[in-house]
Amino acid sequence: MIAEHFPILVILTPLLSAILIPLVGMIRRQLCWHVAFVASHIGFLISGWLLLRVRDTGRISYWLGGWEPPWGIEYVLDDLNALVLLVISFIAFMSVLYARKSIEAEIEPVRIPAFYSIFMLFVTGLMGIVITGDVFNLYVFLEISSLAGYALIAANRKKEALLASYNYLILGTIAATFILIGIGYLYMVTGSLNMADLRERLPSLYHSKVVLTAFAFFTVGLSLKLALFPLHVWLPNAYTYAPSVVSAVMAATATKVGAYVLLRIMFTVFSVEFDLHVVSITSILLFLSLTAIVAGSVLAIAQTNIKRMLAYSSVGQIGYIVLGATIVNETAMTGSILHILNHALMKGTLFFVAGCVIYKTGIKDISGLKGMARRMPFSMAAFTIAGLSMVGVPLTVGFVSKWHIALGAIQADMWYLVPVILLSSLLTAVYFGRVIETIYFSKEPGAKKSGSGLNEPRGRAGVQEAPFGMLLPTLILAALCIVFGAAASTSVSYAGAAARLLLGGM
Amino acid sequence: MTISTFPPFMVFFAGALMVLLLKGRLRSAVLMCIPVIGFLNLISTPEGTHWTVHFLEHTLIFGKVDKLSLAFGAVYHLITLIAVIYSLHVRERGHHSVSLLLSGSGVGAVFSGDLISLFIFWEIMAVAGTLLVWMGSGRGAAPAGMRYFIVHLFGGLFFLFGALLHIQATGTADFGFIGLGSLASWLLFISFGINCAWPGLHAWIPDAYPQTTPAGAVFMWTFTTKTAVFVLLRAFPGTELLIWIGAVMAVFPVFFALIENNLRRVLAYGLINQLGFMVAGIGIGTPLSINGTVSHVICHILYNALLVMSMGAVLHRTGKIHCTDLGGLCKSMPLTTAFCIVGAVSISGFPLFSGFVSKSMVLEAAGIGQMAMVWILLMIAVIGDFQSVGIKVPYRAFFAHDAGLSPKEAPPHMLAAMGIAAFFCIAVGVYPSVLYAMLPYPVDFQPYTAAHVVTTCQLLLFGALAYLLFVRFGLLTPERRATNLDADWFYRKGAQAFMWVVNRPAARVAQWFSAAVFDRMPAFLAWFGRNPLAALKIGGDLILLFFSSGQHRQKIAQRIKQEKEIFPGDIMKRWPVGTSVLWVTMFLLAYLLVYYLK
Amino acid sequence: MRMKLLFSLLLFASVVAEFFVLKHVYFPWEDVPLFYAAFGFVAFVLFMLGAKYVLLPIVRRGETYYDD
Repeated sequence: MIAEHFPILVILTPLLSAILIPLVGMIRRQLCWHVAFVASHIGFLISGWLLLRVRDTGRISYWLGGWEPPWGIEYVLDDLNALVLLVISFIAFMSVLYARKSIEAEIEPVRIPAFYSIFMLFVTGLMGIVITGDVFNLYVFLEISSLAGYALIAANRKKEALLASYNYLILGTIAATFILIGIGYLYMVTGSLNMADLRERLPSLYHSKVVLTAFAFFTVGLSLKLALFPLHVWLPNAYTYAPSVVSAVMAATATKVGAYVLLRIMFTVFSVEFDLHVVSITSILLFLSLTAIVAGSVLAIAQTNIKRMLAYSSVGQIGYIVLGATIVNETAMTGSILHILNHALMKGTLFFVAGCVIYKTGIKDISGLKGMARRMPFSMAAFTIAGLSMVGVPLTVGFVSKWHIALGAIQADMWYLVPVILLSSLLTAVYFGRVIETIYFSKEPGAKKSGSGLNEPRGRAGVQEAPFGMLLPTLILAALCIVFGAAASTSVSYAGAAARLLLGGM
Repeated sequence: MTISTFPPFMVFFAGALMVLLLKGRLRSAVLMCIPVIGFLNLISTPEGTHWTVHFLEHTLIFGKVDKLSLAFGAVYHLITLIAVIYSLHVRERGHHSVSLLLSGSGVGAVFSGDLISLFIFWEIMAVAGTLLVWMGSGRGAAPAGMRYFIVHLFGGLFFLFGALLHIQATGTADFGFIGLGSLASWLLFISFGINCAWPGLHAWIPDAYPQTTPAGAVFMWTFTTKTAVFVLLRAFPGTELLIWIGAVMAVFPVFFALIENNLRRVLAYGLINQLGFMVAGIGIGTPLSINGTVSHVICHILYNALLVMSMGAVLHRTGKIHCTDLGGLCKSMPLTTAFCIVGAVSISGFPLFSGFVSKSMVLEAAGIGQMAMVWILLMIAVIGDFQSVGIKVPYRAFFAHDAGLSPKEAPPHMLAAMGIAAFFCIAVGVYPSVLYAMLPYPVDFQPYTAAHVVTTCQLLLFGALAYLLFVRFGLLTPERRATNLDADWFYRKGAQAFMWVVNRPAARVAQWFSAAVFDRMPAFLAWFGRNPLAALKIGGDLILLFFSSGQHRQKIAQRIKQEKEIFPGDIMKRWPVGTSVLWVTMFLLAYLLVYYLK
Repeated sequence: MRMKLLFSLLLFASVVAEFFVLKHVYFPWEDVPLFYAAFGFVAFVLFMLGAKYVLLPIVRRGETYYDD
């Protein structure tokens, strides 16, 4: 049955499309998007099916080529990565939908086939990282997605983008190398590359220096990939200067995948006991994540460029995800995993809107958004919803994950963390509030002040909304910010199952 | 959940949405129907606990219906109707929608039976209030709205933190009596206090409220603060601290109101004074004082709205609201003047008007409890209120010196709204049993005793006498255009300082860091790469320079200069043997270390 | 003129009426004749003075003080 091969199909589909697209592009350039669209759609559907299957029957294990692990490569789907896989594939799907118009404006036509091809490679890499159960395979996919990512950032060939991509390349390669060293060390002492197998073999070696060194390399390498403060320096420039759809998809997926890998290494390959007692990595990461949360929010306030503000905001949000993981109880971990989903939705919406604005008006600065609510009411509404969600207003997704992390902190007797979490909400309110006020209540340059942006009749230029192909994914994501915020029980139960899995064992 | 009515807030929220899609007469009609439908829905709802929902592993209760919530709910519906009629002239759809959102969340909060749903409504109120402030047309509306947002979000954070701790400690999210004690209760206490404008936490009211539109003002003055009073009634009745907070709250705003030029800011301070009575009543905690608080809430909402509406009408017609710009309007706006006077007389507590039957209950409760100091303070507050709002507002706007303005009378819908409010002010004053029937505890209070009437008249009339004498002898200070500082000075100047820090040092540090990693590091590596050996030599010499002194120092510095100049130079320079030996030794050391580690 | 006359009449009436009513007092000072009258008058004056001479010098600034 073909369904048995879904785990490999979900990787093969984007991979094959990446090969197919340049060929198609030679025949008719317009068809490239269609191929990408179909491939990402299929990937999304398969991921959804896999998640439901995992909920029903439990862990799925797929042996590549029929070779038995730990010698063969194994693809594993459990509560955690099935969820993450769905998030990634959904965002990828939405991004492809969005990219059609967005890319036409930002990239030279002759390069579009190459762009879609590399984009699908990027998606392949990400999904591979999530689905694989073998650490070396993970490294391979990590490199695929990273290299594709560097190319994507530089796709619009602007000077700043090239430089940002180059810097990211240097740091990303260092990170990948560290991860490889970690993998190498683990292989050296255990003879195994399979995650489940490693989990069994490692405990007797927990105190060996090699294992400790390996863990150190993993942590540093992943922190770089994850953009955990202070190793985040590549992120602001990369997100700001990349093409809009690339910023969106990277903000919503790449760092989340990094978080996923960190969780896997910390809790599946190694174990909770290791993290708490052998190496107090949780304390170190706790401190770093708190710093990230505060620093990210403070630095975001100082920004005038929309995308750069969102980039620093992401640095802060990544802090939340790591914070939830370091509290090591079920509630907080649920919040952390929820935030992987929720932040993908929120940041995806925000970057999509930024892209809509750039597409329609070329405006990149916050001050340029004055009175934009009149011209682009739907995009701005989506921005407002996502912004309120970032602040953590109830009935939005942002509230749900913050609630869990804060509650988890209290349950773990670390209630002193709660003021920091809440303080960052306040800081977030400052920079988003400012943008929202500019959008709705400032006068357009040249227009008379006439109250709120929801006025009738419409402003001078009338409504000039972004094209439907870009607006639709934006609105879908924004709507989901509310849907999963008000009717949160589904996402909470999935995340809860994943959390229990991580903390309880395999 | 088997009753046939729906949660009251839903009517308002649905209305808020519908209004966005309608225009013109139809919209006005729908607007007026919404509170009416809501009210009919409300009175058909029996007492008890209804409409529960599961969310985040807790039970949310959207219908905790008892006498207390019904009383608040009823007056909220009434004031919404009045306010909606008053705002029929507003053409922005967003304005109507947001106003209904504000009143709807107030209604929702009042019927909320658990902390989570209460928090949801609390936050929606904060957002709606912010939007209403931002819709004001003045230049100061934008920053004031931002401050409003931050202050209320800050309060909301205390709420959330306290709620989380409380839920964790008690295992349930139910909202009822809490009482001061745990950290959680203090956090909630402070959060409620921010919305209730306690001394020190009050400055957001005079800051933001005067920035709203005339129509939005009626909503703003009512919902946020009275909902805070409500939650205090539920959670902290009888808390002694509240008595003192309330007493102070009732007195200090009078001073500010007396020197204030902007009449809506005067009304804002007047609001704080009135809230003080309510808070003190909650603190005293006896059935009489609770009754007093609730009746005061109901009466206050109406007469305060009347005052706000009359000032709004003045602002609407003349575009001015400062004492210095106004005066002598009684001839051209007689009805507005009359309504304003009704409101002023009510707020001061004259017999035959609603203030008389409500304020006296709290004072009586203080008397029964033999709380001398409190009683005196509240009595002082009565005079102060009379003086700073009851006399000042109508006098400065409609009498005093003639400013030469002759605006038209207020438009009919505003007059209608004011008329309804005035009607209730007088009706309740003359026939208080209707009011008393709504109160949570059975009422055994007789406001119209001969003694009470006489003493109140003495109090107020002689106060008025003092005023007339001041005027007669020219002792009354004329108003001036100026800014009067209040507690918001701390965070306004503080915020400026914070933003300075963020924009300069913080961002600079981030920039420096980025530059160091991305520019200087690669540049150094590139320089190094061109001739590593020579670079190492320079490095070694620099270290020697650091450790040497005197003559040697000069020689070494010279050498370094030369080396830097000829860099990258000739790679194949001859090495002294010593350097090679050094390298070999270092490699050996490295191998040994690695061996040990393994 | 008529207003002034009416007002004076009311004042006088309130003073006189005090002696004909039965007060149930909670505090001893309430028994003092014309207590409320005096209280109203004095409180009024104190407020005026306090506002003008104590608060005003402390908090008054120019109109453009904040200029956000």
